[in-house]
Amino acid sequence: MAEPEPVQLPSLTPSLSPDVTDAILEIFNVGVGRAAAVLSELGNAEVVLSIPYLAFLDRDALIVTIANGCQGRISGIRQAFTGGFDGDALLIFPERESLDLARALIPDPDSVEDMSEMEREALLEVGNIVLNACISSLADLLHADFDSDIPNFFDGEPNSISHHLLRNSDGNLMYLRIDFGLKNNEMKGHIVFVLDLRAADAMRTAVEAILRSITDPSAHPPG
Amino acid sequence: MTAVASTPSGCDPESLLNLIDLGLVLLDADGRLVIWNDWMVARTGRARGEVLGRALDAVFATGLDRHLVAAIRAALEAGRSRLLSSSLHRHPLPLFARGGRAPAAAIDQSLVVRAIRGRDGRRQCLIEVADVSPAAGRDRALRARARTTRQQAAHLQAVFDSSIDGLIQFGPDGAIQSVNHSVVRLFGVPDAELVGAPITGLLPGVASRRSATGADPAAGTDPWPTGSRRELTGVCRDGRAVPVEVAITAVHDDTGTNYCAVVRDISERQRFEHELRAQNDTLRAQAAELSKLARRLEASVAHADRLRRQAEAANKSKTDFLARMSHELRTPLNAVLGFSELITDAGQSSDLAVTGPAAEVATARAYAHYIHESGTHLLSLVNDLLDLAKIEAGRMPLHRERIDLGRLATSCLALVSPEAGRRRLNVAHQLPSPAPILCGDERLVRQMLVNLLTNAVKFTPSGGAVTLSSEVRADGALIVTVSDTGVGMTPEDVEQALEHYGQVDNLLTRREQGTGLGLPLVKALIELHGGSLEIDSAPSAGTEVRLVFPDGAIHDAPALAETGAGDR
Repeated sequence: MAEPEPVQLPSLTPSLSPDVTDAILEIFNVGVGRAAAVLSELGNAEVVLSIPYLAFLDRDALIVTIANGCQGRISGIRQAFTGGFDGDALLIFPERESLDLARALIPDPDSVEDMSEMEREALLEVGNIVLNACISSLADLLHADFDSDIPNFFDGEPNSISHHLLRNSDGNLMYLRIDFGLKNNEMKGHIVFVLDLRAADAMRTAVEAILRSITDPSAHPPG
Repeated sequence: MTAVASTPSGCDPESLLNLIDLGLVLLDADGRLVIWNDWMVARTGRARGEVLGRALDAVFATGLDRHLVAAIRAALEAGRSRLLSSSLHRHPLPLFARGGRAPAAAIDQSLVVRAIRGRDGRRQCLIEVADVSPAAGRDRALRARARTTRQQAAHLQAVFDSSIDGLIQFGPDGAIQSVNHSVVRLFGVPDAELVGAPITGLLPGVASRRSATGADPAAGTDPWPTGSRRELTGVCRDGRAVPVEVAITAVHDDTGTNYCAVVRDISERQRFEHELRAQNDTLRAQAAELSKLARRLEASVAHADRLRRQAEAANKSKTDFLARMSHELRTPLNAVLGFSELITDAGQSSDLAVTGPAAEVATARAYAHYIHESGTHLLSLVNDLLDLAKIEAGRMPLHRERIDLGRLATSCLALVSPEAGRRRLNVAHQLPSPAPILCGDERLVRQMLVNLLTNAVKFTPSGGAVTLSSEVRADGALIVTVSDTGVGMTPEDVEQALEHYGQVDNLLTRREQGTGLGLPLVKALIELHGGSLEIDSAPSAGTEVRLVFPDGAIHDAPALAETGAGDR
């Protein structure tokens, strides 16, 4: 793994204590809980969302992590956001499981191997809801205001996500693993925030504030 | 109003918005409508002037999809852009296609709710509406078809799995594609091992085109003999051979031709057939045995028939002989009777003189008397025998005449009265007055009555009674009855007495002389008259013998009056 640049979050990745991790996850949990409520109203099957893992990874580690989690091809939804900071939010599934998710949402799913246009559209909306929730949570975490763009769909080999990560050529990425509990099978989605330099600074500030609030209960909690 | 400016080309941006085949709706930071293009006008029926400046939910009284409301709020307040897909929200906006006379159809729509910044930096909300009805309709139809196909496939799979016959699907190369449970059970091989294996491993003879009938079941180009059912031998995993019946069907589809073999275990059937054949053989042997017995029986019957005919011929010869002997037997008896009578009466009423010492003469006369008595008895015996023989031979003539039963009865009773007097028996007739007139052969009727009266007198102990009576039965028959208070007979005795020469053997019989031909002769004579003989008797209760002359044997009363007969 390459030596982190000073401008990135050198101290964050290795030293993210469980307490800090829990505090950040709590913020995302609130947003994702709202997304789950929306999804459960929409789809055929009840979808339970939870966030079990948070990490700050560099690009190579991220690709390895995703490739390990997705045997074979991947499907993904990318949504750009602008405002206080610019960046991309990506939701990545193993292709097979993304099909399962789409079919869990739509009555009378098609039985053919390929995803139909309708299924893809439904999946895109689900990704849109989840990513919007995560972007809102990130805005809360960083005390920033973001406008999100319309999401788009991509698929391919795990390596192919590298060109979606171009915004962060320096290698700092926030990785969240999100679990989709479906009726018949559990599936894992991978959420990646590609943050620019200003966002990385803001992230450091936010983490420091969290640390302060943990060590000094009188300090204002983040968010 | 809108933030739209004139384009460099001078084209009116407003008209461009109306050319696009999308619904475009722009809401300002306060949620008021500022753009409402022609596409929306056409599909909502709401003119621009009617809606601009109002909130979207105020335009549609029926209310908006709440996910759309939430998306608009998220766009205006938080800058979130949102998709509303047609598969999860079919009709977020109440839009209708209006064309022709068809009723307005709700439009399947796909919405993009986009957060954008106005010139003042405040957020606005742009909603793009796409009509995806055709695609969505196609998609739904495809899903419905897929559902039907799935159901059919599930149904077929269930049939395939649960079939009692073994089913093997295989490719043109003979590689097994799938088998059902029956195949696994029959051959004892797990299906995982069978898939991909050649079908000839299970059914070595399956590729052969020779059928049980010897005909080529499919002379076509099919690499497998399809169509007819054939009996083959299957090979189980443990090497056991199992007799099976196999039929192969070609299954043609887009991907080419595959085959399905139906395999039926016929070992049970074969066993049954063998048993049936064995039973059949046994039955056939038994039938042969039976027919042999039948032939033997036929031969015996034929032999018996021959014997019977011989016996009948012999009997006829005897009867003929006896009938012819009539004259020859009587003639010498006449001499014996005549001369013995002369000797008995010599010196009294005849001219014959018997001379010698008085004692010797008396002795000679006594001997002559015995000879005459015995001769008389022998004559009556011969007469009875000859009569019976004549009747049996059908040579007894029947001379029907009018018979005054009263006169006849009196005459017959007179014949037996000396003997009855000796035995101190009361002998009488109880005929009505006038007595009936009977049609019959008088000599024969007299013989019957004398025989019956003689029997009655003979078998009735001293002090008893013998009565002759008559009556007319309801069916018109005339009954002439001779009853006595004698020793009587058991039913077996009656049966024996009616047999020729079968006189009942009892104490009285031994004491009394009898030919044994009396009753059989009476029976034969009454039957000659078309009538019948009835006997009621019991030991020590007397005997009643009835001669039944059927209807027509009686002459009516006036006839009787004309004859003037009827003296008693």
